[in-house]
Amino acid sequence: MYIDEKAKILENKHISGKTWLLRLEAPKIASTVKPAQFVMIKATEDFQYDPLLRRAFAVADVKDKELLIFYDVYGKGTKSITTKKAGEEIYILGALGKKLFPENYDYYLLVGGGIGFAGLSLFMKYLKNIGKPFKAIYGVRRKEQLSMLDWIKENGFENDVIIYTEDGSFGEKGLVTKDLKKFIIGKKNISLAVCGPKKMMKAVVEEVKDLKIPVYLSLESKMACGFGICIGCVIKNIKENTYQRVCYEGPVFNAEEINIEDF
Amino acid sequence: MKQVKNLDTSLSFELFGIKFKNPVWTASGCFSYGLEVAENLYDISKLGAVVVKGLSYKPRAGNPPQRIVETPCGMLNSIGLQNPGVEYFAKNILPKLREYDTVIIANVFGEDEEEYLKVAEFLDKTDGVHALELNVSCPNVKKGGIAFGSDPDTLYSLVSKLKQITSKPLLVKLSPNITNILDTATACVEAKADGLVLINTLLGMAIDVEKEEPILAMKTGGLSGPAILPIAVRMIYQVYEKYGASVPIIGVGGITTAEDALQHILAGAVAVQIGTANFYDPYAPLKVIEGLEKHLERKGYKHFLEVVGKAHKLKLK
Repeated sequence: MYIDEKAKILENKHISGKTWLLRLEAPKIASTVKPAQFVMIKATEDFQYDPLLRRAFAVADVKDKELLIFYDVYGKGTKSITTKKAGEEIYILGALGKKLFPENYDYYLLVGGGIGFAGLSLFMKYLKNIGKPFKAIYGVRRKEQLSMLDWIKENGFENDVIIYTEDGSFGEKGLVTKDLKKFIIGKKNISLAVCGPKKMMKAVVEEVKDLKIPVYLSLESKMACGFGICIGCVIKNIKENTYQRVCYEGPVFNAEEINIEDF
Repeated sequence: MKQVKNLDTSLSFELFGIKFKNPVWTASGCFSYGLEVAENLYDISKLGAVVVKGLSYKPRAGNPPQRIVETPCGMLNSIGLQNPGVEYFAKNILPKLREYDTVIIANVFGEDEEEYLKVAEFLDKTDGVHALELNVSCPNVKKGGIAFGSDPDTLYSLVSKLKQITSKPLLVKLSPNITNILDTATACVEAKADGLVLINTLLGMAIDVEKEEPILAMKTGGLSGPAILPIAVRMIYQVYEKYGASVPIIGVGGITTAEDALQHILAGAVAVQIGTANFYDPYAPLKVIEGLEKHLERKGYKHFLEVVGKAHKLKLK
């Protein structure tokens, strides 16, 4: 079941650049969230219609009754969320998304770009908890964009995450694709879990094409509802030649099945 | 036109011989086929009716993305009537939907008159579909793409033919993208439509100022949401002014709250449909039902039908 919960804001702070951190007390949704699921946040009060639609956000972490969300400020919706203060309440609908990362592989390589890493962090935590081997790659342009760095340290993932910055200001210099194959070769029954900008996801898919390993992409899309009724957030399934809803048939898709140009 | 009767609660009523628990329905295209909400959010048996997403005879893939864009107090969509076709609907979706105790209304469309007739003929024989709602906002492929709903003669011809092949109540959902809504409303009434649904979306466009191009892949889309509420209320008022209670009007357009629904009802709607509000407030239809009950009680009405068309009282006296 999906829950429309009035969540209490515990923290809503600017981290750096255009990225903000939102910590919410939402006990009902927190008890149901699975890795790769998302929530739809209503930025406005009741009877305020601008911005009209809720915005979709990946759940980066869950601790007891709390949800952690990292978000980039792009437009009206996200901008109005930045005005919300600790102690205020907002409606969130969740936990959404039906098709998540498959769990039948022996080894996972997680590849996150920018804010997209927040779409993988909960899965990473899950893999660690169940003792499944994995490695994570976290790429950004420059170190100021490493918005999840503190979280990585606080949660003891320093040795699991390899950081790449395009300008070399932190970690390895280069794109996430730079040493990608090195992390894959020799691993049996491996799959990739990827979340990030379209350009990055395309580059990752291209880079590992010849290795014939399954790549799962966690997608975002412009969506009006988040729970399957508007049919707005679609992506083309090239195997079935149908449009599928990112919110309902996703958000995780096998890269082989979709037209990456669509989103 | 069949009479509307009071039943046992302040919101229940009978229209075209069908019993409705309340006058709050969900709008086509804004509720999929009802199952996503029924299986994940709430019991859709509480709704007056579910008007399912538009059905054509052949399956339709729909339009490429980007399909939606938010606009001030509204949104544009160009979903492109994506649907699995009426046969698939009847075989795979309808049986599940019928498990819920609500009225099921099928929204019907076609690329040409023949397709409309085929869908209606099929649904006429389909158990569990209580009534048909005609979507006439789609382009008529055989007439150069002009929408069925923008030409009164085409509309008259289509509705007359459909009335001959279906015994189920036939509602026509009118397009607001015309100069005078009374032209098409009159054509439908003369063709013996059982009711009118006012209004479908308004054609609009949004442009990305950075990319300097329309945001939607199909360039234009249908505007819906609170922004269109006054347009819907005005059109309902106009049609009710002409026909009064003799032509049942179903109001749709911009309703989020009971107050919005009451504007439609006071203008002359005997039932309302909740559309875009489902997206940003999934429980909106249930809140409207509750709000209507409270309003009637506060104002001392025994039944909502006492309020229908009441905004006309001065003029009609």
